[in-house]
Parts: sequence; structure tokens; C-alpha cells
Amino acid sequence: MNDSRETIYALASGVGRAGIAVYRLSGPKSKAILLALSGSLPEPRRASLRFLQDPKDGDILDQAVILWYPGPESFTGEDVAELHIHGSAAVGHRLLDILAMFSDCRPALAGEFARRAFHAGKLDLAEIEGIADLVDAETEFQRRQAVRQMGGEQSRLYESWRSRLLYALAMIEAALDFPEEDDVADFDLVPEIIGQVAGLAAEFGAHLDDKNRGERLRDGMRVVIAGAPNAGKSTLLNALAKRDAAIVSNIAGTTRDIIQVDLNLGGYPVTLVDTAGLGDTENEIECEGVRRAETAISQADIVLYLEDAAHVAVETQKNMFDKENHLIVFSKCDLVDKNVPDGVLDVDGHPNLRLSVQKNWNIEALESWLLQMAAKLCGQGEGAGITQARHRNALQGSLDELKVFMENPQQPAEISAENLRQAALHLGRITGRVDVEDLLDIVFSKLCIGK
Amino acid sequence: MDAKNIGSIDIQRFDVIVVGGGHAGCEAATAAARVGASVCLVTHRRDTIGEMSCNPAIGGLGKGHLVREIDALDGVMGRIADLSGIQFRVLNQSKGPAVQGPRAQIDRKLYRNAMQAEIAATPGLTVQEASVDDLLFDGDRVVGVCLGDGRTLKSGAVVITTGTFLRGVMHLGKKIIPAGRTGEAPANALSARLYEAGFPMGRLKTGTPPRLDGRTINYSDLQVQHGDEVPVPFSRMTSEISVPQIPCHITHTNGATHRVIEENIEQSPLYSGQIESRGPRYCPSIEDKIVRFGDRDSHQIFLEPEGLDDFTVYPNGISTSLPEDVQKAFLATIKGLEDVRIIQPGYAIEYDFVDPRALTAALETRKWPGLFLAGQINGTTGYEEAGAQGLVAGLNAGRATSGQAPVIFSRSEGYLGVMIDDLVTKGISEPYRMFTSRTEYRLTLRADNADLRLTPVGIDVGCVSSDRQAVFENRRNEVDEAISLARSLSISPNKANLAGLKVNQDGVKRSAYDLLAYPDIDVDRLKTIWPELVDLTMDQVRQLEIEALYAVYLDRQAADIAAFKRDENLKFPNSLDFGAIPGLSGEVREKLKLVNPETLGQASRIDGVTPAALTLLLAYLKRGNFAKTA
Repeated sequence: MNDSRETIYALASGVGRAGIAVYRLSGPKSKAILLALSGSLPEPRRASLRFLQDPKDGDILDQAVILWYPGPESFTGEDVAELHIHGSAAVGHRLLDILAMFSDCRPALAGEFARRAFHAGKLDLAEIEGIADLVDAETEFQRRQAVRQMGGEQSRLYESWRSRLLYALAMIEAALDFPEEDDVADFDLVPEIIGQVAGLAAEFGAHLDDKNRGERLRDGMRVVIAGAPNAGKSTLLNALAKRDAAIVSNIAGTTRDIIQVDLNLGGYPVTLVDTAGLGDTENEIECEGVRRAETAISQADIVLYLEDAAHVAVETQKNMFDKENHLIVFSKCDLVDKNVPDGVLDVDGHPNLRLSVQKNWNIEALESWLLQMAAKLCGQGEGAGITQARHRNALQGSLDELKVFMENPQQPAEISAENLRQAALHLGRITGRVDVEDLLDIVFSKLCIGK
Repeated sequence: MDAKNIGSIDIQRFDVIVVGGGHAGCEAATAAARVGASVCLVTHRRDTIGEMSCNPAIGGLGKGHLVREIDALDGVMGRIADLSGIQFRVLNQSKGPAVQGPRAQIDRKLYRNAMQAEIAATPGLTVQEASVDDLLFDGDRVVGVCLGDGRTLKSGAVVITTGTFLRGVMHLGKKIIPAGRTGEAPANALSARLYEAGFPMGRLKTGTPPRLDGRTINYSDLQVQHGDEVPVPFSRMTSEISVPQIPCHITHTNGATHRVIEENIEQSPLYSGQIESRGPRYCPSIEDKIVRFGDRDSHQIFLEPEGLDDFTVYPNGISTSLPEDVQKAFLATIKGLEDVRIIQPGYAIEYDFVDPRALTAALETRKWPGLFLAGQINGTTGYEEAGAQGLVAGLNAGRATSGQAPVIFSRSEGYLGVMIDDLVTKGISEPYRMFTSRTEYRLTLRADNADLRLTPVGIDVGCVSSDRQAVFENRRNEVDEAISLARSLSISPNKANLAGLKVNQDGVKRSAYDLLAYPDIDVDRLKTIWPELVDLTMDQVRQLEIEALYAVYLDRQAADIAAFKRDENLKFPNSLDFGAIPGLSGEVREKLKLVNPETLGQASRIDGVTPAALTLLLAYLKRGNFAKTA
């Protein structure tokens, strides 16, 4: 086969000075390049130590560990090679110069290796998304979740649902297309199908009712610090971030815009958001700051509502925070108290905490409360939870169809079939698999059809 | 080639030559003639035109839809079946109209005679008895055929509809007999020609049951199956069925039958290794049923009469290629068949087919313009599937000779569009049969509205007679009137309640059309509220009720169809080299090159073409890159 497609290459490890840098090649020229550089082809999938040379002048470039993955048993399904060279800028530059000399060979575009893997059927859409998430993962629990998705745990779950759905659909389709077969039960006589659909609907519902754990873990938990001006919000942000991320002063209204800091809180990704103080103001800029603060609060997963222990704020504003996942924090307690009780207290059903950044009172207690909330809101990347809005929409669409099916037992069978067909289409969109032949396979393998 | 024949007195010229006189051939020849072509139908034997070589029945689920679509385009199958049907039944009457399929048992002789009369009466259509051994070329273009008797026929286009005759081989136990059908010679030279030319070809298998002497069947204890009290014809042009109606009977295999077959399974060519080609899963031999579904203790057999004055009975459900003595032995174990005489033993037949991915959606071969293929040669099974392809191939062959663009039927227009798209896009791995589950727009593409969907296309194309056009336009107006009437009548929930209709008391007025979507409300119930509905004809009432029942889903499917058409309208330029599009995997490229999709939508239905690949193709089209390659 005269394959004209190009061979791509890229640095696969991090940029910068390092002990080792890994370069990866994929495409039909991989073999020739590996041969030209190292003189002989190593055994497939066995790390081999070689001197790499510039094929033009025989100049030795570096000593390297090389790996050879002949297609189709490789990540991309194509011939793939890996060069583990020393991680110096000079060696890397020279290697890239050499690779650029080969014809039909060019630097890879972003995501191109994964895209080739997808084309070759090595990965489905959900698995690709898993890899992307793993590469982007910054915390331990994000990593766990991404690894699961990449490994196909989600895909397997969705596929198993889809095949159960197709089975139910196939039984109806058989009754519609083969009414004369004695092996085909009449549609009305199949409570089994209804039971299966009800079971699936319940599982979809439970899966969807996950309080968006997976997406939150993927995208980070948003913790918004709100409260009246000069309640000490920025001071608390800096204390939690363990650096001076926000400007702090005694002047009310120092923070006018949203300030965000990303943290790794015990394995959970957390975005800390500092907001402008809530309160009446005539100042146009401050007004906008307040508006932004209110938006941030409405999008928050957790709100820390700060009140200056010395000046307890207006009652009306509290209503805004009368929800779970909100913590009332009394700040600057060192100005009014000799000491404070440890940890989060429950007052009238509202959790609250008395702290002082100055004296380091209850800062750790706040961190451990946040960690507890994170575990509750994000999970620990266990199971095959929903990690993307795209998946949630598809699953919800599927569930909606199942509901129509269940709520209308009297509707004609072909409409029930239409509901299940649409439900299966929605599910198939998650992994990218949709095919009528699957349906016929089930009909013909389960039922003796044909007069 | 064959230059020696050029200029000889034996040369005759036609616009279209149709090879084969089966169901595909008859539709192809008459369709080409209807669009004004001069047509020659070449067949081995004039008296086998319109022969039903398998079961004596037409229609069913999916298949009945196809017959209605053929009829909507003024094809012949529906009308001929109406002239020869001896037991009409609409299947699935307990289910909704979208999955009801008209079906009829057919008197084979009446069908054959009526079809031969129709062919004879078709203006511009002549029949020649001969075998076709080769094709005549002008460059790559097919311009005629060379006959077995040495003559040459020239034409603008050729339609091949050779059914199971391409290198046909019958299997009966260990006996192997080259044949296209019992007692008829296969077409080996033509098959060899296609092979040599490099057409991608494969081999398929199908089978038939033994034919029984009905005078030796004891019907007294068998279950009787009558047709519908009022037979519903296939054709809009048929006002009533005048052929006498007779019943079928049903019997069953039993443990003793299964034992005989199990003990002799080694003698079946299916299990001895003699037959390796793939047979259809939905039409298994009795051997297959017993081996694959060993837990079933009985399989039903429909005893179908082959004609009013023909004692031959077709036992539907027990196709077999076991040796004749084993067939006799297992039949004797079956109730009613204890003393039955076999007129002709069952057999399996293997034949060549051309991978339909070598065809365009007009059913023209890409390799050789001017050559069209239709029917079993494309890997399908069934009279209706063959007829529908024949019609499309014939129409397009006729149009090609007068330089007109092909008529392509889309998946959203009809089952024939679904079938042809499946064939040319996905190819086949077993004989292809139509099912209603193959269409994504099942609630829209119904047997009851085939005329409303397709006759306007037929009128545009010029393949519809003026009589049919008048009948169609009258019906369309009536249906439109009924629907607008029902939409114009409305009632408040309160008043509806008083009239005994259960609707939500939400204060929203509902039209008669809205109310008809409720499963328990029909036009009859609404007549007490709106007496003007009494004037509707039975046909109007029925069509109105169907449209209203599915209204919500029809709107949704209309939206789906609009989205589908956006993709279908993204046409690849003819000269597009899929190999030149960057980013596609080798596998996807090979698939695209093999199928050569005409539109983005078609590309999306090729197995193995991923959503990511489609995105690339779409981006390529949108960027207008093809302008450089076109």
C-alpha cells in the first residue's frame, strides 16, 4: 500500500532541562528514521541502549534508550518509535533538526497522536477525553478519575447500558418485523422488556443524581469567600493559599474584582475565589465588583461567609447564604476573644467557625472542613462517574426517552421502539458508537426467525 | 471488442437492454420504457418471465412497504400481485400503521401470465430469447451485449438482473448441479466476464423447501389461516380484488422430525463443508434451526398453496438441502404430511454476487458507465427488494440514454432509498432483506403514504401514467382537506370533558387533529362534536387518524430529516481523491476509496468511518479545498 501520510514527531516529556527527554515518532517513516539514527532496529517493545548518530555526517548525537513499537500494536496503531535522550536543550535541538531533514516528516500538531489513535480505533471518544484529562490532571483524585476513564471504565459502563437497551429494543423490533414467527412473543406479553427499561432508567437516574461530583473533580471545586467590606476576605485567601495572592489593607473596598487562586487541597483541585465586599455603595466600580461577587456566589460549590467578629453584619445578607455548603466564618476573633473553641460549631443549624488569621486560630480546622466538603462534593474519583457535561446531556436525553416509554404503556409498540431507539442513539453519542446492525445481530442470535 | 460483429446485419439497436426476466428485470424493463426508452428484455425463456422461483407470496413487513413504493412510481409488481393474489392479509394489524405491511399469497401461474401480458402490452418493450455471454464496450462504456447465439445487441445502457443465475450451483445432499433454478442453465460466461474485469465479487447461499403434492396432505386436523375479510390491494390503481380467496394451513415440526434431521445432519451440504458461503440469518434452513436453536421443540410450517388450480404446496419454514430420502423421512413425521408426496425436493443454491459498493446510488457500476445491476446480483434477497432495485436501475438506465441526470432516492424518502444506500454504502455480509428496523424514519415512511411520498417524484421524472397522476392528485387533495378540516375545528377542555373526552383541564383549546393523537380518540367519537366530519370518506378518515396519531413524532422526524439532508447536500466533488485529505487514517482512507461516498451523509454511514474522520471531511469541504482537486 502506497501510504502517503506523514510521520509526526514531538517531545513527549516536559519542556526544559531534565535527566531524560522522551521524543516520540508515529507514522510510516518511523522505522526508517530509527534505523538511520541507531544503525539497527531493536526488538519490538524492548528498551535498547544505542548511540544515535546524525545520518548525514555520522556525528554521534547522544547515547539513548530507544523503543520500537511496530503497528498496529502501538498507541496510534501506526509504527511508533521512542527516543529517550538526555534532557539537554542542545541534544534536543539537534535531534529536531535531524528529524526535520526526513521527507514526509513533521512536528506533530497538538493532540495529533491521540487523534491518530482514535482514527485507528484504538480509543473511543470517552477514552480520549480520559487521556486529555489525565495529562491535565493536577491533583491525586483528578488523576484517579482520569485513569479510570482512560482505561475505558466509563466506556464499558455506557456500552453495557447501550447493549442492554439494544436488547430490549431488539425484542420489540422482532415483534414488529417478524409478527408471524412463533418464536416471537407478542409485544403486549413482554413485561420483561418493561422491567428492563425501568431498571435502566433507575440506574441512569442514580448515575445522573451524583451532585456533579465527577465534573467538579475534573474542573475543580469553587470556594468563594464572601462577606461585608473589610471582613478580612483577602487575608483569609492569602492564608489558605499560603502566599500573598491578594492585596490586603485596612481600607474597606480594597478588593474590587474577583481574584482566583488554584490550590491542591489534599488531592482535590480547589479554586479559591476572593470577592469584593457585599454592601451598599455608590461607587460605580464597586457596584460592578458587588455584581461580580454575587455571580461568583451563585456559581460557587462552597461559600465561606465572613463576618468581622467585632462588627456582626446585617441580617438580611445572611439569607443569601442559608444553604448547605455554606460556612459562616467569624474573622478577626483575636480582637474580641481571648481564645476560640476548636473546629466548626453548629449554631441554629448554621455551621460556623471562629478564627483569627493573625493568631492562626482554626485555620487548620477550616482546611479540614474544606477537605471534608471536597470529599463529599467531588468523591474520590471512584467508579465511573460523569466527568463531562457532554456525557451528562447525552445520558439525560437517553433517560428522558426511557421515561416517555415507561409513562405510556398504552402507546403503539412502534412508538415505544422509537423511544428506545432514540435512547440508544443518545448513549451511543458518548462513546461514538451507533449502528443498526448491532440490533439485527441481537434479533437473529436470540430468536429463531425465518419461515 | 468483437469488431467482427460491427456492421453485420445481426445488429439491433435499443436504448436499454435488460438481461433477465425476473422481478428486477420486469420492473427495470417497464420503468425504462415508461420514461420513453426503447427496451429489449433478454431472457433464456420467454415463458419464465415473472416466475416466482421461491415462495408464492409477495409483501410483508418492509417488503410490503417496498411494493407500495414500486406502485407509487407506477411500477408493475403491486398491480400484478393484485391480479393474482389468493389470500390477502395486512400484517401487524394489532400494532400501529407504520409497522403494518400488506402481504398476499400468490397464484404463481396467474402472476406469471399477468406479468407476461403486461410486458407484451408495454409500448417500446420487446423480448428476445437468448443467453447473454458478454458485454459490448466503447472504451469503458458498456454499449450492448453479445448473445450466446452470436448476435449482438447495441444499446445506450444495459441492466443486468440475473438473480441466482451467475455461476449458480444447486446442492441436494451430496449432489451438486450447476443451475440457476431447477431445470434452468446458469449464466457462467457473464460471471466470468465480471470476475475478469476485477469487479469485487462474493458468493452467497439461499435455499428452498421441497414442493409438496397438496392432494396427499391431510388438512383435517391442521390449523387454518384465512386472509382478511376485505382484501386490501397493493396498488392505488386497484379498486378491488376479484380473484377468489383461499386459506393457508399451519403445521409444526416435532421431536421426531428433529431426531431425523439430527441423525442425518452430516448429509447436509451446509454441515458437511460442501457449502461455505453465507446464507441469510432470517431465513435459516430447517437444519440450521435445529442445530442453532436446539432448545425449541417445535417450529411452525405454513402450507402455502401455489395456485387456485395447482395442487403444489410450498411448505414455508423448512428450506433444506438434505438428500431427498431424508426430506421424505422427516416430512412423514409431521402432522398432516404423514403420506405426503414430494413433487420437487428442496435444495440450497449458491451463486455469485457483485459487491454493491461498486455501484453508485443510481445502481450504475462505477467501473463501466452504462452498466446497471439490480436484484440478487447485488446481494439482496426477495422479490420486492429485487423489484425496487430494478425500477431504480431501469429509470436511471432510461434517463442515462437521453442524457438526463440520475434519480437518486434518499433514505428520508423511502425504503428503496434506505435499501440502495445500505447496499452501496455498507455492502453486505449476508443476503440483504428489508426490515422496518432498517429505516431511521419508520414512523414517516409508511405503506399507507407511499404514494404521497413518491408519486410526486414519479410525476417529475415522467414515469407515472396520466391515469395514476389523476388518481394521486385527487387523493392528495382529499387528504389535505381532511387534515386542514381537523386542524380548523377546536374545542375547550371543559367542553371536551362534557362530550366525554378525557383531556387535561388546562384551559388550552385543542383541535380535532390534536385530539386524534390520543390513543382512545378516533374520528367516530369526534363526529358527535363536529358533524361535518361525517362527510369524510373512509380513506380520508384513516389517513387523518394516522397522521394525527404520529403528529409529535412526525414533526421530530421532519426535523431529523432536515438535519440529515444538510449532510446529504454536502456533496463531494466527483474527482475527489480521498487519499489527498490530510489527517485521515489509512483504514478510513481505504474505506472511503472503496465506497466512494457521494455525500458527507453517506460517508457517515460507512462502517469504521469515525466521527473524527467526518469532522475532517466536513472541514475539508467547508474550506473549499476541493476546488483545487475538482
